[in-house]
Amino acid sequence: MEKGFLSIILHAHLPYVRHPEHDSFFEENWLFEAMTECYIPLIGVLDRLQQDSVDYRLTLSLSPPLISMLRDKLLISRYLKHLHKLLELAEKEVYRTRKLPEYQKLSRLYRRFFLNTLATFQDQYKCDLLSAFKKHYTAGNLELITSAATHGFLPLLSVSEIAVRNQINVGIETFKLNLGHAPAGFWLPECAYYPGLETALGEAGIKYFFVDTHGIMNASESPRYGVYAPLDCGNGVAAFGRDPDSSRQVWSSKEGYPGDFDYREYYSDIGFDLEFDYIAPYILDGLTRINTGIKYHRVTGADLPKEIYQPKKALAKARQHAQDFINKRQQQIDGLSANMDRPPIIVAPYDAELFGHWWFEGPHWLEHVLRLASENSNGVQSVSCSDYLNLPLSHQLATPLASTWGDQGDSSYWINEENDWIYPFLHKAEADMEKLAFDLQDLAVNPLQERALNQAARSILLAQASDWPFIIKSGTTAEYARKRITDHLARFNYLHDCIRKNRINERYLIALETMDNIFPAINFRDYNPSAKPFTGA
Amino acid sequence: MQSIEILLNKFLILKVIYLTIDGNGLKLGMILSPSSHISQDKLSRRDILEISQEISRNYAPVASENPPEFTAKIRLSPIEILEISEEISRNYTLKISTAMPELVLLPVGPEHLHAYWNPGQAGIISAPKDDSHEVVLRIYSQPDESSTATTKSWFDIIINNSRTQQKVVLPPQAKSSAYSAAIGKRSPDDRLAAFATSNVIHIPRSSVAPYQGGEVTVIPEAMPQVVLSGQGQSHYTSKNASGQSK
Repeated sequence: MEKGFLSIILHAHLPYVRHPEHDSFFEENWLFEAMTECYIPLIGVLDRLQQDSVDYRLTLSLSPPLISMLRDKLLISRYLKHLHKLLELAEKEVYRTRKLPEYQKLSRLYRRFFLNTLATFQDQYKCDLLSAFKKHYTAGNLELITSAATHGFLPLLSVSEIAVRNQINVGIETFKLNLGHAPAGFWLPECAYYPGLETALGEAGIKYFFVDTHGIMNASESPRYGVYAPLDCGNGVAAFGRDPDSSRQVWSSKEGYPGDFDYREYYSDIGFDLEFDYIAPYILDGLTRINTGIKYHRVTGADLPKEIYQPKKALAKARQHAQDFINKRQQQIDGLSANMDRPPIIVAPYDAELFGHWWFEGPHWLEHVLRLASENSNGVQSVSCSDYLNLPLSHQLATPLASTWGDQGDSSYWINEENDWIYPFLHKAEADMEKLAFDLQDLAVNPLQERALNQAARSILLAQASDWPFIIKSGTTAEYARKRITDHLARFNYLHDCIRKNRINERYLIALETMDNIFPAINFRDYNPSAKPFTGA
Repeated sequence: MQSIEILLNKFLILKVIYLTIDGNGLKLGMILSPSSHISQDKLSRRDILEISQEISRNYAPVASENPPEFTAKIRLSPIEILEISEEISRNYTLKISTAMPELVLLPVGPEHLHAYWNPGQAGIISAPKDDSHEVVLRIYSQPDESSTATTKSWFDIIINNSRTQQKVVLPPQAKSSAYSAAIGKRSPDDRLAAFATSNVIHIPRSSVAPYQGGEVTVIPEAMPQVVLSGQGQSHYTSKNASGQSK
C-alpha cells in the first residue's frame, strides 16, 4: 500500500444578506439555514474529532461576507429568534405526531437537533462561530483560508487591476481582522482564474489557490503529475487542481453519494407538506410556503411515493460511503505512486453548504472520512495544501489555463444574455471610484467626506459579488439579485454625486452605513491608481 | 517643564500665548477661543463660510487607522432607512453616460468572447437608413509571439443599432489567443472608420485537453490510466439560488 495525501477543502460562502431596513427578510434565512444545518454541525464534527484525539487536517475557506455576517449583532439576534421559532415548531410537531410513532420519533429528533444547535451556538460558543473555527485552527487541525472581499468574479473585473486587487486585499484584511492571522491560501471565487492573477495573490502574501482540473491539465506546460501535484506559477504561488473523481462522487446528482435512496430528501419539507393554517406562523410573512428544515422522508427513488426517513440507516450508509471514498482514494494513490517521485496529493474541494443543508448526512460522512484517513491502516493521510507545500519539494513551473469550475469550465455562466447588462455598469462605477480617489489624492478630506468615500467603496464591492449574475442566470430569486446590483450601484452613484458636489447629507449617509456595514476598515485611497500597490501581509 | 503664560490682551480673556520649555527647547503655542469682545458683524456670513471651508479643506485630520464608528448620533428607524434606500434607488437609476465612445472586450471561454460598447455623446451607432456604410464590430486576432504573420487577421459582425452588447463566437479556424476589436462604419471596400477601439484580451486556448462538459483527462498519457475520470458533472449543474449546491 502506497502513501499519499488527501486534502479536503470546504468553501463556506453566502452573499451579504443583511436587511436592517426590514423587520425580517427572507434572504437572511440563507444564512440561518446554513448556520443550523451546516456550520454548527461542522463544528460538532470538529469538536468530536478533537475530543477523540483524531489526527486530521481539514481546510475551511471562510468568505469575507460570511465572516462579517457571523460577527454581525443584528443577524445574531435574528438568528436566535429564528432558532427559537424552529424549536416552537418542533415542539408543535411532537404534539401533532403523537399518534404517528414513526413521525414522532423524527419530530423528537428535530427538537433535540435544534436544542443542541442552540446550546452549541449560545452556551458553548457565545454566539460566535468564528471563535469555534479559530479554536480548531489553534489546535492545528483546521487550516483557515479566505476569498475575495465580496466573492467578485475576478476574470470579469480584470479590466481594472485595482478592482481585482481590492477584492483580494479587502478580503484578506477582513479575514485578518476577524481571525487574527494571515491566510496562506485563497479561494478564487468560482475557482475563476486567469493568467496573471497569481501576481496580485503573491503580493498579498498568498501561498496557494485552487483551479479546476482543466486549468492544470491545460497549463502552459504539460503537468508532469497531472492534478496530483501543484504547479508553481512562477512567483512562488502554487496552484492546486481539483481531482475530478473525488469531486464527482460527492457532487454528481446522478452517481454522487447524496442521491442515495436512504438519505433524507431535501425537497420534502413540512413547510410545503402540511396544512396552510397550521404552518402559516412559520413561513414567509405567513403567506408564502418555504422550507422549514423539518423533513420526514428519504430520497426513496425516482417517481416513487416518498418513504419515511430512517436516521440510523442513513447514518450507516454515510459511514459506508466514507469507507468507499477512502478506498477509492487509496486505489488512486496506489496507481499514481508508482510513477511519481513524490507523494501524490488528491485535492477535493466542496461547497461547505452541501454538507448538512443539501446532504443532511454530509457532516457524518465527512467525520468518518477524516477518522478513516487518520488510521494507520490506510495509506491515505489528510493534509492541508500548506502542509504539502512545506514538504521539501520543488514544484513544476507552469501557468494554469484561464478556467472556472462552472458550466463549460469557463466564464459563460457569469456573462450571458441574462446577466451581461451588469458589466458596463460595474466597470463604469469602478472607473468613477478610481477617478475620485485619484482626484482627491493630494487633498485633505474631512471626516464626513471620508465616510462617504469609504461607503462608496463598499457599494462598489457589494455590487461586484459573483452571486448576483449567478442567481440571475439560474433564474431563482433573480429579482432579488437584480435589485441588489441596481441598489448598490445606485448607492454608489448617489455618493459619487454628493462627494463631487460636496453636498453630503449625513442622515442619508448614516442610512447607507447602517444597511451596508461591511468592511469597517476599508480605505477609499486604495482605489487610487497612482497609490503604492498593497504589499500584503 | 516650565510654562510661562502671558496675558496679551485683557480684552481677549481666553486668548493665551504660552511658552513651554521642555527637553526639545522652547515651543510657542497658542490657544484661541471665541471672545465676546469680538464683534461678529465684522465678517459676513459668506466670509465665515469661506473661512470655515478653507479650514476644513486644509486642516481636516487625515484618515484614522481605527474603523469608523457606525454608532452615529443620528438614529434612524428601519422605515426611515428603507425610505432613504428607495429614494436613492429611484433617483439614481443606472445609466451610462461617457463623453467618449468606448468599446470593451471581455474573455469568456476558448470559443467566445464578449463585447460591449458605449456610443458616447456623439451617438456613434446611428447610421442613417440610406447609408450604405454598415456599423460593424471588427474583431482582430493578435499575432502570437511565435507567429511570423505581420498583419492582423479579422472578421466582422454587423451590429444592430439597438444593441450595445454582443456575444462573439470565434470562427473554428481561429487559432489566436489574443484579440482586440474596433467598432465603426464599414465602407463597401471593407475599410473601417472606427469610432472606438478596445482593449486586448487573452482567451484560454486548450493545448492538451479541451473541456467537454467535465470530461477531462486528468493525468498525462505517460502515466497509467488507473484514475481516469469518466463523465464528470459540472459543479453547477444543480445549484440553487442561494449559491448552495447539491
